[in-house]
Amino acid sequence: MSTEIKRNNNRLAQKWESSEITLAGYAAQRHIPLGGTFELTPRCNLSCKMCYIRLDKRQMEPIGRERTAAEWIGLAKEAIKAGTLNLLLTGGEPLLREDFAEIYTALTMMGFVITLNTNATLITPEILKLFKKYPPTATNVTLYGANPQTYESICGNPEAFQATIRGLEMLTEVATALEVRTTFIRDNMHELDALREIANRYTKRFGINVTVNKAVRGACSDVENCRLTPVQMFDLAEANAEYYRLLNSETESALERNMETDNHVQARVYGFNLPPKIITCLAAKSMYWITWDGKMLPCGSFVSPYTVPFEEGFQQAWDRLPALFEDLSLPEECRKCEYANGRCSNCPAILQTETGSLHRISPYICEVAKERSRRFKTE
Amino acid sequence: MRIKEGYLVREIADCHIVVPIGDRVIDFKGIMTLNDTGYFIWKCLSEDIAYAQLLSAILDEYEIDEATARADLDEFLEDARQNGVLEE
Repeated sequence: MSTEIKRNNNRLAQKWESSEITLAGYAAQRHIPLGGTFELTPRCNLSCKMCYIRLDKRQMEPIGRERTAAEWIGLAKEAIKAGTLNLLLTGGEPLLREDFAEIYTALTMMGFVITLNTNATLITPEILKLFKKYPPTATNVTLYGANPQTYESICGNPEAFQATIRGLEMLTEVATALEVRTTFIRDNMHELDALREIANRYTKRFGINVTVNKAVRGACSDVENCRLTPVQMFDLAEANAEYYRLLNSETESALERNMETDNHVQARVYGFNLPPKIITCLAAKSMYWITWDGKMLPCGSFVSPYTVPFEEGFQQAWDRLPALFEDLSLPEECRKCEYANGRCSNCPAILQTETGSLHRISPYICEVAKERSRRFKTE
Repeated sequence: MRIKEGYLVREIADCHIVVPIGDRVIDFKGIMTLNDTGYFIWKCLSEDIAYAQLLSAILDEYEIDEATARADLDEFLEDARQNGVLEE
């Protein structure tokens, strides 16, 4: 390496470290696929009524096939070469795959920073042993209710509550950054304090998700009958924020995690003028999502367009992805809307999820933006 | 002294990033980035090497005075100790 390049590297590294741009933003400016998701399966042992992704075997058949362990491991090697650092393993429930240990063990030796999403109900002694030996850097556990009744109402299985608690107890033995996450719908919206209390038995990190969108890619859910109204969404988020404010501790307050707000802010912070312009966050710029059947999408909320990394190779799939979105634009109503500059995230993926296209506006998204605007004005 | 086994340095987006693999994830969380000098020192520490040899290698590689080299090296070693990547 020449001295000039060395100096240049040094300057770039310093620039990144001293700037407020995260490595993800820095990678986006260079079209490096820094953060990826492997959606290993759409299958899940729970049947949550608001789940956007779950499919059973019968539903999967006409869509495609789950990729094999060898295929995922091969693709991971290509992703490493292309520059992926952060890798999220998710599903469905990834631990439902019989070959999960084979895939996971191989990935842990490649140089990823691995995060695992799981409902924690399937953590066997063998899986615990594996995680104790090779821990994921971070583990996100979904907790849907504070008791068996709520689990029955949301997930169709009251016993899953105790199974989740057992899983969380086992995970306390693992050297992983544990986060408990709850998606709130009407069934569990009254359990905010109880859920946080349960989460805090195992970890200080408790993330709330109040935004629930319609199902994608062939999945079916009952979202419209169970998701929160915009008023309920912001009330709940505010109640959670208030809890952390009352702790009167900067350290504890920093733990407040609201995925709706966080994602929204992130989209604004990283609103680089990078192609494709329709996407306001880092998706297809430094982030990607690979579905269980092998489609590369900017994020998990998209349905199309997509590339096919298992067929064309990872690098080509990644390089082709932004151009597929280049000629797309939001509906004119969205572009001219008074909430377009910040009150609405103007997320094309959510629009596509809610309306089935990029050409129609979604009354639900508009209501959320309107409520956000109302709250923001009064603060 | 040397860098413990179980770490990779990945060059991503023009940055050198230290990543733990396998069971090293137990000891090492977060991200350690290396600048140009840091990466040079890291490579020297992939095999057992004494402080004086390291200092001499830096002086051979860069046109800097001994006091500056020593300061850079001490800063790196302190950082490496704090991150628990050094075997002494």
